Amino acid sequence: MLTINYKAAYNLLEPFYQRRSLHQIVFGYDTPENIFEASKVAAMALEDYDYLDVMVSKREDLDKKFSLFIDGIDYENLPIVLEKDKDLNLLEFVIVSLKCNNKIDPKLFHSVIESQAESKQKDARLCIELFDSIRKHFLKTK
Amino acid sequence: MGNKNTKNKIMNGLELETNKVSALVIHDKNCGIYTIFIDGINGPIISAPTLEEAKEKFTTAFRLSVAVRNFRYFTQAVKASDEIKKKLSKKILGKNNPAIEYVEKELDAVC
Repeated sequence: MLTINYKAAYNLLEPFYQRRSLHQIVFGYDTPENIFEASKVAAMALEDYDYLDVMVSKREDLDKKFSLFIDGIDYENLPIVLEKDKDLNLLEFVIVSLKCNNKIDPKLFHSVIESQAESKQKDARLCIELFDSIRKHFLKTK
Repeated sequence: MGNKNTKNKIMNGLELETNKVSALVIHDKNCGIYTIFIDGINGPIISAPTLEEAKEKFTTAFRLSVAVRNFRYFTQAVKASDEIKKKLSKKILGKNNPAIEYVEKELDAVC
């Protein structure tokens, strides 16, 4: 089975997304200081304990476990979340490519597969064919 | 798991509605790996050797992604003018804490 090295996937996404830790999102340079406090007050009023749990109680732990890839313009959309330092299976890599369909050319995904396959002595052509066929399957079912 | 309150809440004249998202679960029988993601929108892409582990990780990652989205949305709303703020605030509240519905789907082996 071909797995895609986490760092290779990370390097592919990074130029197209803002890569920030949860801590950086909450206390980042473009976030006025009082906004986080205001969001906590609003969450408490709404009894949104999931929000408070993530943003307050588990923030450091979550930062260690997950990487967030954020669209700088589209703040309505969810960020892409990958497990930190965990290699991706081919299906996960296909899903990443579908989520980035409007931003990243699928050929760049091919290049990553090719280099990963070569370094792991796998048949790159076969892996790319498999990648394309799974991708096609999901695009067809949309 | 998540916010089980599916009834609407009214707060300061704004409506809070808990909606639902469908997460696709794909089990690769050759590798034994379960992969979970939301079809069509961003969010977490998670895999694990057992369904329980995959769901647990996915739920945590999903709550994280929703909280981040809501915080970014909240930030925009606070910065906006009063008229836009009202519209954005309504949208923020309407998007809080969707429940996750897992849909299992077959896919030929991908190993």
